[in-house]
Amino acid sequence: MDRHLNLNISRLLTWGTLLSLLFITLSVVELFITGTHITTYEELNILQLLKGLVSFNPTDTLYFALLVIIFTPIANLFYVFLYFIFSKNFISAVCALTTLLILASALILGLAV
Amino acid sequence: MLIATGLGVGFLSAMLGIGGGSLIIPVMVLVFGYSIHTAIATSLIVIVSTSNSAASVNTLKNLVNIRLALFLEMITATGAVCGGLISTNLPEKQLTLAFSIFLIIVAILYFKGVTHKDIVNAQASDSKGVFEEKYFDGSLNKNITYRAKNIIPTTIISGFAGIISGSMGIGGGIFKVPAMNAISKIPMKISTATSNFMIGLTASAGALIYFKSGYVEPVVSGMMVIGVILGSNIAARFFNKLQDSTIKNIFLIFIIFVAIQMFMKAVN
Repeated sequence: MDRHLNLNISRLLTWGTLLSLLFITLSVVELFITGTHITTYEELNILQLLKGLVSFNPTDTLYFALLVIIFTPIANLFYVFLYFIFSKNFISAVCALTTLLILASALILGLAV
Repeated sequence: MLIATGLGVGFLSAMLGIGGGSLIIPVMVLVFGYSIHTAIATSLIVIVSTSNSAASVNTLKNLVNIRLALFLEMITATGAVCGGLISTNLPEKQLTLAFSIFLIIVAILYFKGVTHKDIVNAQASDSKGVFEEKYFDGSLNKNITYRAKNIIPTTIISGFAGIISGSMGIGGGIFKVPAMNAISKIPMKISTATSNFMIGLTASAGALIYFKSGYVEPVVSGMMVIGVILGSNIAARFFNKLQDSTIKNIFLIFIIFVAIQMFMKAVN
């Protein structure tokens, strides 16, 4: 396998992991500074979450950290798809795209696969 | 306690190429008293986190066969969607019982069937196969080239693992790893590292759905994630130095543990 691909996948996954850890730590710091407590949302509104993130709400920061974790492998898969397209390995590109579409369809159907 | 649980789960999951749902869910429900939905949601986030953390080290060491992972994931994800769609029509008790018996059979066949020597011999004597790759084996101190043999049966089992995963809420690594190792003659380390990479993709879709539905307890998930990242990183770092037979033996103990757990669930 191309050393470049492995290296970039590893970097993407490491950055995703470190970024999520950074936001988890940030939420703990915000918790101490603001003196509030972390609540659990009944339903999640992404826009509300982003607003809370910029206004240093520890709950929203922690939720954002978890979102970063979840989106890291999806971003990684998208990168792999682009890599195979540009390196003209169309069979692997089709496999990556199909997996992306299946995961998207699972989301639309509301299935926790 | 949550961080320590995460550490243990992350360590085992990264080493065995499993999701870890069968470890986290019972601990969260029985020990910490959380609802099953919260336990599943946390488990899915933890699975993604383990996969991210372990795969970041494993891809760097060339232990993940990306092309094989993409090919099998395409089939596994399709199976998982089908499993999710049909799960409401399946009799849960009988399915769980059948699943536990099937796992015990897998454990017996797997234990008796394949040794690391068989894998080495199969790779050396037969040049047929697909998704050729090579990696440096830290325990043997040499480069090993391998190809995936008998890819069709492994693909079928991966699809089946996807159905089980979608209908019963487990990662499916418990089927994929033995299939890649015993049927496709892929070295144990590559099988577990590739399975680990795949599981992160499958679990991310499920995690998003639970996330949107409000089942995620942020503090619980956050604490578990810290533990898991530490545990999986430790496991991934000395994983390449372990003998394949050691990983296989730990994997077998895990299969038997899950089989007993499933059997008890069906009987009760």
